[in-house]
Amino acid sequence: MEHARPPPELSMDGSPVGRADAWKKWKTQFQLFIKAAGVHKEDPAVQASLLINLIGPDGFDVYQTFTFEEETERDDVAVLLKKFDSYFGVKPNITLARYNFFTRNQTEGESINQYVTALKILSKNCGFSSLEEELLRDRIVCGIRNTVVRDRLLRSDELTLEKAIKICQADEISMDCSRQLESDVGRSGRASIDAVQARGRDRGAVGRRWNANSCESRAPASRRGGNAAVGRRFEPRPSASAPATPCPNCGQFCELRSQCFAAGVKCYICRGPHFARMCSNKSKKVYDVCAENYDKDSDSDGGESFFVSIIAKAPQGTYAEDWYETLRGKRKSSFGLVDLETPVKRVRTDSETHTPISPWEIKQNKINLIAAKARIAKLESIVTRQQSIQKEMQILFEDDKAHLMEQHKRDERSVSDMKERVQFITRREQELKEDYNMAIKEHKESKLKWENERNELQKQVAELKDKLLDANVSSKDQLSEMKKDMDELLQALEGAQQEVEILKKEVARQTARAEQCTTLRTQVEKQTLELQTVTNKLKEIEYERDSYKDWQQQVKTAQKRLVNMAELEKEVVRLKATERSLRDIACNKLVLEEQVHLLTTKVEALQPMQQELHDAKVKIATLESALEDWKTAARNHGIESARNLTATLESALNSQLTAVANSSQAGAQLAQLTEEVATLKFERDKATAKLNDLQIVRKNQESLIHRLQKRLLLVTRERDSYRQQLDSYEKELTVTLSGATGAGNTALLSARVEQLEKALQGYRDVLANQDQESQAKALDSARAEASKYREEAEAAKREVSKLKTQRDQLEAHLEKLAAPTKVLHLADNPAAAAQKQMEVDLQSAQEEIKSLKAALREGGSRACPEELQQLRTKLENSRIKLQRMKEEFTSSAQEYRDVCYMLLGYKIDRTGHKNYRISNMYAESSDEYLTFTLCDDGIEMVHTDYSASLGELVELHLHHHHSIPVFLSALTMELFTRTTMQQEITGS
Amino acid sequence: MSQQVKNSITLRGSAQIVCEYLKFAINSVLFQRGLYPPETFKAEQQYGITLLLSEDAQIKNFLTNLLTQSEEWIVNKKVSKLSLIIVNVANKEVLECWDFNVQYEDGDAELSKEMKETVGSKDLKKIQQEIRDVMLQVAATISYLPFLDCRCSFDVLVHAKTNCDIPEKWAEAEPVAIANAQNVQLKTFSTSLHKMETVVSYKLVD
Repeated sequence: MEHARPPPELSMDGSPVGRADAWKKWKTQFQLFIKAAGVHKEDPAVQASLLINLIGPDGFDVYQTFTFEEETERDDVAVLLKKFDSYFGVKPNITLARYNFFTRNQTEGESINQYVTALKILSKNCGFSSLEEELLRDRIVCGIRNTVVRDRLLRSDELTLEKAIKICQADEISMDCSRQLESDVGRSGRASIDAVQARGRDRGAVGRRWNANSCESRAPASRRGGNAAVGRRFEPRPSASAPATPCPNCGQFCELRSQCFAAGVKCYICRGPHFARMCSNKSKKVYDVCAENYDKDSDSDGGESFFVSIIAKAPQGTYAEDWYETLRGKRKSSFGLVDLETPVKRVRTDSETHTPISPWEIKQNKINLIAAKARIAKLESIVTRQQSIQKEMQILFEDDKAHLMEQHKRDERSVSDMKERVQFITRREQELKEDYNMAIKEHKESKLKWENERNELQKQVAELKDKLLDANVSSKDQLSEMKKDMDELLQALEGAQQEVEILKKEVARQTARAEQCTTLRTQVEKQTLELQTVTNKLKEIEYERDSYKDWQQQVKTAQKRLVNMAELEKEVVRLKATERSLRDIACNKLVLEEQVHLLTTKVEALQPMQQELHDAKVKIATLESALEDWKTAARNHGIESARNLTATLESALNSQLTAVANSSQAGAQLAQLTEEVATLKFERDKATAKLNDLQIVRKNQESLIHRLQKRLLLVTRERDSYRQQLDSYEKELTVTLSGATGAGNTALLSARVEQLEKALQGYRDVLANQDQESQAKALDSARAEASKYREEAEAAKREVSKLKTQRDQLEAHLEKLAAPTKVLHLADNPAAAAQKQMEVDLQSAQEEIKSLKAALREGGSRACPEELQQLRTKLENSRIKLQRMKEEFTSSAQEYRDVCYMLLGYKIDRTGHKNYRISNMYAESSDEYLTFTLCDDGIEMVHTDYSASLGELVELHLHHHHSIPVFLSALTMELFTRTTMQQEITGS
Repeated sequence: MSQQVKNSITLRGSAQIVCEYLKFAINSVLFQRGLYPPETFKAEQQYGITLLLSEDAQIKNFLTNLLTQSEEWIVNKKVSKLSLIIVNVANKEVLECWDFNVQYEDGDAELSKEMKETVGSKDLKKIQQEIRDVMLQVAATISYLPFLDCRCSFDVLVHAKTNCDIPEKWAEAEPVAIANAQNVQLKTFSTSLHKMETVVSYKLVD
């Protein structure tokens, strides 16, 4: 990989942006080189040293300035690249890059591919991002040199970059192809040759020799040289001060050897460092080398130009006087887009061909001129367009500029803001410093204070220590005193202990006494027991005494009875008399006994009867009991009971088992029977079918028999008739033989005919009778059989249906017996839940009832004693209050009455409902009172004895004035005057 | 191929139809007989008529437990009868008994052979129509059933075969008998695999 070309040294010229760009470029180149040379696989240190080596002197200087945190980093290529990045790290100016991008037009001779790549490179730094493709496309459209292509590009809608490039390339290729065609055509055509000829003519004066001077003079605005066909290329440059003598190498007037066109060129004749035409070796003389056609008119529009590279002399003999030129044509497009090599032309140049300019040529030139002018106009339009684009660009640029300016202003503003902020911060800092100083001062002051305080406290501590010492001393004194006290107390304790011992002894003594007391008490108890036994004995003795007294009384009564003995003897006599009478009666008794005997015999006869009756009764009873048992059993069958149930259950089970067995048997039988029935049916069907067949056969046979019989009869009768005929014939024969013929014959014949007819009739009758009888008989018998079979079939069917029903019943029974169902239900069903709920409710209700009952039983006394107490106290209080109120009321009422009495002079008493009695203060006696009743319309005075005596006042005040108060006051006045009068009277 | 197109009901599907019917029938009875307050029921369209389903979580839970187990049993042909009994809570007297007799049928023999399992070929619409008729009859029973004037609750007894295992949460119960019972046979419906016979028996009060 040593073939990889290392990047050139990094140049540090130009602006910082340029340098950054250069660095970027160099970096990518370097990385590519490393990759290409295979160094990237090696140690980073090697890469680093390679980098330093390749970067060149300027870069090395920069490298010297770097500082590294660690020495190992110096050998790390990545670190170095980063360092360089940061060193050159100036951001590319986007505006500038954009300006470069937008002003980049296609240069002359630049192919579309080159132009596009250049644009793409430029667009990299512009930061177009998503717009990049579109802007590239626009740039191509604007910057392309060929106006025809531009038109086409502008014409196509939905133009993309790719499309644009394709269009341009296609145009290029088509141009090439057309040019090639043109050149091919031009090989035989005149136009190009004419041009050569024309130039040839121009140069004709100089001759065949190449004149460098003329070349120089005719190529004032030299252009890039075309591609040399033989690999020799040079570019004539304008020179300000050309030397007098031409260069021996290049044949031109070059200033310096280094600028010589033939530098690094080898002559293909002698291999010397000069052009072949300057070669001194004349064995292979190049007569004329190069001539370029620079037509002044066609120059500006980039018309065709040719230059001759080598003109070789043809081998002698063949074309003695002809020169052959090897030409390389070069055609330039108006934009110099494509360099096209035309095939080598062979032009025949002849020195004898130069002639004066013909009018046709002039015409041609004029045409060329007009074409050129048209081109100029076109170009001018392009220029104007370019200018407009430039203007647009300028506008864009200005916009950008304005934008940048604004940004600048904004930045300035922000800078000023930042400055203000910085000032503010500095101010704040100063304030904070002041605060800090103040705080430090305070701190110092407080420190001083605290130190003072500490000192004071230390002093206090020392004082307290002294005090503690004093206190210790005093406590020691106290301790000794306490010890003394303790000793005293100990002595007292000892004394107390002694006393305790004494007391203990006394206690022992007391206990001994107590024991004695207990023994005494037991003795006393024994004595009391004895006393009780004695008292019991005493009581017994008393009881015996009482019984003895009873005995004495009995003895007395016996003595009394002995006294009555005589009377008893008298009675004995009387009894003897009665005995005699009784003997008589006994005699009578014998008679009676005989009668009795008779009766007894009768009774004996009756006894077996009675026995029988009794037995019958017993039987009836037993039967009744049995009946009852049966009844109970029958009753119990439905209802559950103890013994009968078990018995019945067992019997039922047994019966079930037997039933099961029976049912199985029955099922089997049923199956058998059904099978048998089926088979029987089948057989029956078969039999009936056979029977039918047989009947038919029989009928046939019977009919046959009948026929045969009839035939037989017929045959027999025929035979008989034949016999008779034979007989008659014989008779006839005999008759004829005998000699009697004639009339006798006819008679015989008629008789025979009659006989035959009779026989025929008989046959017919027989036939008819026999046919009818036989048919009827057969029919009857068949019918009878059929009916019989039908009956049988019906019977079988009935049986089948019966069996079926039986089978069904049995099957149902069997199913029941075989698969008794099990009843299942969910354990937590709603019924159970409801039941539970109910039980819970019931229980709670019962509990409540109990509690309430208990509460009721305990009654009001204990139900709520507190409340009761409270109520009682309340009652008491209210009573007391009531009493007090009454007292108050009575006192106040009394007071009121008294006051009324004192003030008004009347004592008012309520004597009943709405009745009031008024007695005056100055009344002479208690009888003098007035009564008033309260009415609906006021108060009325009731007539009294006293009121009758006051007729005048009543008349005046009540009847006249209708005023009771006036009447009362008048009465008061009168009474008062009366009393005063009396007093006066008494006084006087 | 015409057999394939034909409507086919599997044993499981038939059991599901039966259980669905039971669910609606039981709910309907609970509603019609006023065992639970009417506001706890929610109307739902089924079989082309409006039926009422209890919203009570306890009842719902009970019915789902019951019917899932019953479906299993019906599929395995273990059940012959389900009885919904209405019990007087106070004295445990059975007042009403709704018997749902399950009978097992063979279905479509040809189709079963083809499908290699027991299937029926009855049209679902027709089955639902039959069920609807039964449901309407259930709703109409209120006109002649005696009024339940005491606190009542219900339970469902499953008459299963004796060889059937008793699952968890289930227990054996005593068979019930109603004294002086009056039986009313309602319409039957069939899924061509199961035939459901509904009988209500109630205590005749003189």
